[in-house]
Amino acid sequence: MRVLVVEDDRLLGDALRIGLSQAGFTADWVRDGDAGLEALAGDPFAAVVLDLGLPKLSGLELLKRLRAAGNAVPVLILTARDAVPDRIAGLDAGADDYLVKPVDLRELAARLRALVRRSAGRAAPLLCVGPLEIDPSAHSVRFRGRPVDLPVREFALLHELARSAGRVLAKDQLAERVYGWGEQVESNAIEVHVHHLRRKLAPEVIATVRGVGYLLPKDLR
Amino acid sequence: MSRDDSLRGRLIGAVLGAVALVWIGVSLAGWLRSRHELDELFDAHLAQSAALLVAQISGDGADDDDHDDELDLEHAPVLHRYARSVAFQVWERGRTLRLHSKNAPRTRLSAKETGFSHVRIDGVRWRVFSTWALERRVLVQMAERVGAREAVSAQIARHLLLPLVIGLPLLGAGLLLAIGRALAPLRALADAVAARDPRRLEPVAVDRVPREARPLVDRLNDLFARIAASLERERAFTADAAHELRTPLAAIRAQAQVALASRSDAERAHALDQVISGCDRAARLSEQLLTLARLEAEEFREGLAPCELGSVAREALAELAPAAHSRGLSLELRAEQPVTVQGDAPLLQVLLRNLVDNALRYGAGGGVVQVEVGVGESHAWLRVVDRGPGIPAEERARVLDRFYRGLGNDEGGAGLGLAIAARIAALHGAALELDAGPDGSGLAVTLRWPAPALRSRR
Repeated sequence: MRVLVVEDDRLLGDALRIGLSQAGFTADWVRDGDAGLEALAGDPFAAVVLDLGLPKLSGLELLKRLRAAGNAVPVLILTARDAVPDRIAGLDAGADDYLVKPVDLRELAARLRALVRRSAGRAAPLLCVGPLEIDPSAHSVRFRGRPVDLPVREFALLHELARSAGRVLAKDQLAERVYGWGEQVESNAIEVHVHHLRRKLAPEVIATVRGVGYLLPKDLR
Repeated sequence: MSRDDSLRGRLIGAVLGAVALVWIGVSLAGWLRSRHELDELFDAHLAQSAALLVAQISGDGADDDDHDDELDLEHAPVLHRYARSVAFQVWERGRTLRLHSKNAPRTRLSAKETGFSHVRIDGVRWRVFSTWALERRVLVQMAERVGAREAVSAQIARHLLLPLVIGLPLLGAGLLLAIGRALAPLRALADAVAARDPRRLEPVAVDRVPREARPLVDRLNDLFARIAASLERERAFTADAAHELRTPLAAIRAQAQVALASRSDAERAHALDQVISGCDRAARLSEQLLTLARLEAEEFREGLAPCELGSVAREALAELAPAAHSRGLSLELRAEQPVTVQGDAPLLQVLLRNLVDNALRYGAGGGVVQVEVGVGESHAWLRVVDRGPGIPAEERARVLDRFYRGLGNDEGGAGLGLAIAARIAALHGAALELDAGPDGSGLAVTLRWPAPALRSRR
């Protein structure tokens, strides 16, 4: 899952980016409101961690513009402002969650997972498609009752396909969701990961739609 | 409130005292005057009685020389309560007692033979009028007890003073009531002040305060406003400080968690480095917060000592030279002449350190940071110029606010340097101005003293 961190503080932004990556997210980090708005317009993020006191464009203003533009991405406000009116203003401007600094990275990751889960209309923490069970918090996968060990990228790719089960995703779309900015992406990287996943799970788990992309069938057995 | 400090008690005491004093004075003068008149009246009466007696004697005694009769006044009807205190003697040739009242002694009433005299007979004082009659054949002495006129005089005094004895308590009661009612607005004012919440000092309404108490209430409201403003500043400062400390703390915590969870040595080392620089930043922030808090508490001081800006700058620059060197910048001082202003040298050094520190942090890539000291016709100045990106004109007013940071704050500044500088400038009565550098790029921060602060110059 790809998340965007909008935080002007250098040390905290750096920690959030690396810490969320450790928690299994693909995290990108921008340091002002304008750059945040631009990134959200261009790339598909599963969630946003938003600071309020930002240069150029305040976090609240960014949020309002984002919602005005019809973008429903889950937004978690992470700020030093703990006053109740601030929290109310943040949530009423369209935030989905509000955390006050300092925050435990594990809690932040858990809340992001919950936000993403709920935004997909699911209540259960496990993502299940037929015999495939994905636990985003534990980063574990079970297929036909058998645990399967997957490296980070393969897990991320499978997770993205499962989140959009029944829909075809283009290779570029998948790459955008699995890789952050500035990460080296080999031209055949997605094909290689798909190949590995088919071998570790079963060939029918990922179907190829020639010339379009890949698909995880909703009626997987 | 003790009785001594009571306005009401003092007012009543003063009014009653003054009334009593004036009344007693007026009564005394009236009494003295009436006593004098009374004396005249009694004396005239005495003399007239003597004259009547003489007329009586000459009527029936001229042809009856041997008449040895005695007029017994004991049997005369008492016509007036004062009658018993009157006595008389009629002496033939001044030697033989011919006629006397019952209450008169057998000896001469007074040795004096004409006019008025005072005598004491058997412990009783008498006023005596003596006169010769019938060509010095008869000496008539008419006497009256002094006690009689004293009794009248005392009666007059009583009549004069009695109204005072009754009137004073009545007046006192009336005053008590009137003053009590007049002071009611003051009590209401006291209640209004007592009801104020120290955390929310609202002004006292002045419309129902008596005119005499208006200055007090106005000052009180001024004071309330100043205290409220100072509380609000303090509250805002504390809140700001707490918020500002949260971000470095959040960063330290997050970086420490990253280090704990990290599986790669390089990543762990990086996170631990970040933890350390986060601690440095929090330490620097708290240091600057303390400086600013101390400065906020200070007032503009009159008695500043003369200090030479050139030497202040030299000391500050010597301290910052290593930091400049490590950033690849050079420091330059331009002080062509000594400039002495009224100032606090340690505070001016703090100011200069903050300005130069800012120039080093944000003016990077400009090669040189210049400090200028100069004096013109109307002012002295201290200026720090960097060749960095500068600050857009519309942002210049805001950078003086505490915790305001411009974009691209890679330098870990707390956003307090300029706020500290502005506060120190205010304490010196100097103006802090932000402009673009001389060639239109970079930032020039100027501290300008008005002419009165100037002392000596060459």
